[in-house]
Amino acid sequence: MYTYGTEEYASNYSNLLSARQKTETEPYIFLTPEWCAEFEKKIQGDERYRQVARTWEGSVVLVFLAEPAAGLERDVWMFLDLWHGECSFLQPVPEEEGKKGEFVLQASYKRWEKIVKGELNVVKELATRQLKLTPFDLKKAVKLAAASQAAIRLVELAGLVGARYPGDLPEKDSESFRAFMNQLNTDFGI
Amino acid sequence: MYGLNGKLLRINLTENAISEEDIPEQLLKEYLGGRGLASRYLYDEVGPGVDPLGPDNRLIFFTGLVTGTVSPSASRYSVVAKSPLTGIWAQSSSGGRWGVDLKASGFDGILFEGKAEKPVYLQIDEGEAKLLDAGDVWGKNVTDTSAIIKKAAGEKYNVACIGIAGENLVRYAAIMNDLHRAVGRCGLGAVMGSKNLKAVAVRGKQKIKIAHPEEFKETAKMQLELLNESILGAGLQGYGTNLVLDMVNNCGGLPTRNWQTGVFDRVDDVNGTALTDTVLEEAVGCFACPIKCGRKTKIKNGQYAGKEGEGPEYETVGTFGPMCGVSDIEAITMAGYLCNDYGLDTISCGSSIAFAMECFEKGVLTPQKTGGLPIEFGDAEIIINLVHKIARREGVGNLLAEGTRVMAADLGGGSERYAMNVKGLELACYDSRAAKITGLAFATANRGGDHITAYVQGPTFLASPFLVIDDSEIRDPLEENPKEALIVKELEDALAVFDSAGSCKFMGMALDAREWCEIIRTLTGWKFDVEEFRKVGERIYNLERAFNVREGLTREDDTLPKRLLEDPLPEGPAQGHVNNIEPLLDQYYEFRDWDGTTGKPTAEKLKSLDLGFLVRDLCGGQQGV
Repeated sequence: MYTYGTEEYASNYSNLLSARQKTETEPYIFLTPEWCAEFEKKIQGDERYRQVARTWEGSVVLVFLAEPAAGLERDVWMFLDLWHGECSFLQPVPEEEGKKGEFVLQASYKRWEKIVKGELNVVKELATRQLKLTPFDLKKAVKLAAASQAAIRLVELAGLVGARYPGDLPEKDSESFRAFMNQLNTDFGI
Repeated sequence: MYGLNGKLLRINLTENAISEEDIPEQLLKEYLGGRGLASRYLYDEVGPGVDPLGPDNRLIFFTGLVTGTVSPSASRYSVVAKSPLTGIWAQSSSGGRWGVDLKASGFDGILFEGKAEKPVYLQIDEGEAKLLDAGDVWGKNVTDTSAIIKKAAGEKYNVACIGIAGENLVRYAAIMNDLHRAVGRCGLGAVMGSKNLKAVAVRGKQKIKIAHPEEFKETAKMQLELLNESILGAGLQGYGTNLVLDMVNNCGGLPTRNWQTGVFDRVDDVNGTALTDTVLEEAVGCFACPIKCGRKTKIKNGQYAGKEGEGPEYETVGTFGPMCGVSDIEAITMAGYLCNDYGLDTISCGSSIAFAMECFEKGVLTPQKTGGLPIEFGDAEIIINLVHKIARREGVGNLLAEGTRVMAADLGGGSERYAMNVKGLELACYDSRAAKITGLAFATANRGGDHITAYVQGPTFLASPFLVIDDSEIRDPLEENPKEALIVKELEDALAVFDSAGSCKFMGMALDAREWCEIIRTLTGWKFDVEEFRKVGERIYNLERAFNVREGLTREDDTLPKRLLEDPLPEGPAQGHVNNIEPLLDQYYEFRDWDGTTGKPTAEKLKSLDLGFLVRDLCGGQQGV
């Protein structure tokens, strides 16, 4: 397994991403490296996000808790480095790296999927604690409350990326997705 | 009786007579105390055409079922009367701990009628009430009045009083309690002043009886835990209500320069962060409230350095700030302090100043009328100067003390187009052109152009849902979607329950109806489920509407200022948008089961809500309208 934070890790991840961007067809499968890269581009090019998140400071980690019945067999930790309306980094990362993020937001995979599809309201999910700030910290919650419009825009942008969702894949694609995610875990600890 | 004492104190000021009345338990069940029960007394005792500032008006203070219990955020009481600002039903509520102390004194409510021959104040100590001479405090503001009464009566008394603005019958004068908490809207302080009533000082140690004490305690504890991990609660604690200013501006709906635009370019000077960085000392809360959205503040810089008090909250910042084109947070804070001390509603006060600024800009308000005073947008000093003049009714302040509706009628020149009120009540700081459904809420609120009757601004501008109704989600705030009129109706009903029970409306964002009903059930022992919750709210809302209909209000009054209907927002995310209210109103009346032409509740609706006694007043004895 490559060690996160090393040049070797970064370069191999980059190669993997380039290769998959050439071989995979769009819309990409949700949460894969190529999907994350598209999501990053969407944020970087969005004026509305830049405006509503102009005072936001701090990394956000979205934790998609495994739900094998919905097609996700292990947790995915997605790290977003966000600062004053800019997104400088967005990737799935190993759990121990994800835990270093400043704002760790956790929900079951299926709830996240519904949030991204626009079937659930992200602010309501936070209000009802279905989407949890983990661990709860008052000062961080204060900042999150003030950033609800930025959160909504991020979710809208995720929806605009378009995706094939793991639970909806035909059997053959589902098998190859599972195999790929296993390989990702073996090589990158993701 | 559980929850309440079951006692109303009736004070006839003309006769200098004090009496106690039992409150029938059936009335408590139907209205829950607070806003609802006070409105019932008002309906029964104040007939159509009564002068709001005359002796026949009533001024009714009422605590709610949960006021003073350990249920979170249960500090509130309501005051109800006919409004001198709008001429219709008026209610305003306040937190702090005065309501808690009133209930502890042995009475749930106080009803004032008549007019005292000379200034008096009421003192209640453990069920004993007396009227005392207020000669020493008449002519004094809130801080001095409270201090003098406490010195005379004892420090343990809690004082609700008016300042000079109430004495001078400023039409949007407030009643203040705990020095900084306001029964702010609709000019109830002027009603108090018109009765020569300066203050109500209360103290007591009466305990509240609870039907199922252990269950109640457990329910309250669980809700407290929910609130302690609430993101919204955290935001309010961190930034106060001014948390929302950025959000409203981001939507292009922050009323700026008297609603000429919805985007304020110096928002970073006045937002929640700015307030926290410049004047905040600490977050303070009402009785039993873990949220602590209040701000204890001190001005550290500039000409007002050293002044301290509480606030400003969002509406104060919005009206004295962007609405007046002002970005000086110290001056805005100072304007808020002055309003608290004079006893003035900051929304109507700031709005009247902003309106005067636009009238001055357009030449409608001339230097002759202002006594040579330039009243210009962006001038921080003039807002301070005008607050003094309004409270004292000095010079041009005498005109501004009447509110925007009367000002426009006086000034003419087409100014009613941009006099930003509905039914005479100045609009709060949310431009409905940037969130269409909020226009419907402004138009239909029973007390006039109000934001917290439905607070549909929460689900729109703040994207924050109300869990107390099943679905509060607004799909696209910039679209008029008639089906979403149901959200306004349901919120109006639900929040009427909160006002009546004495609970903070923010609880409606954090708790669902089932969770909240548990509080009432365990407190009172009544069968109180979600269906009953909805019915009580709807009953109260229809009763208030009936009061207004009896005063002559019709569908034509349920509208918005022309500026919102006809002048597109010139910039920002809502650029080009205006309000188209009629399709929303049609659907709203249908959801309400009100007549689409007259705006009257139908006889069937009234009867279904146990309000059959209103049918004759509204329908002239006919079964339909």
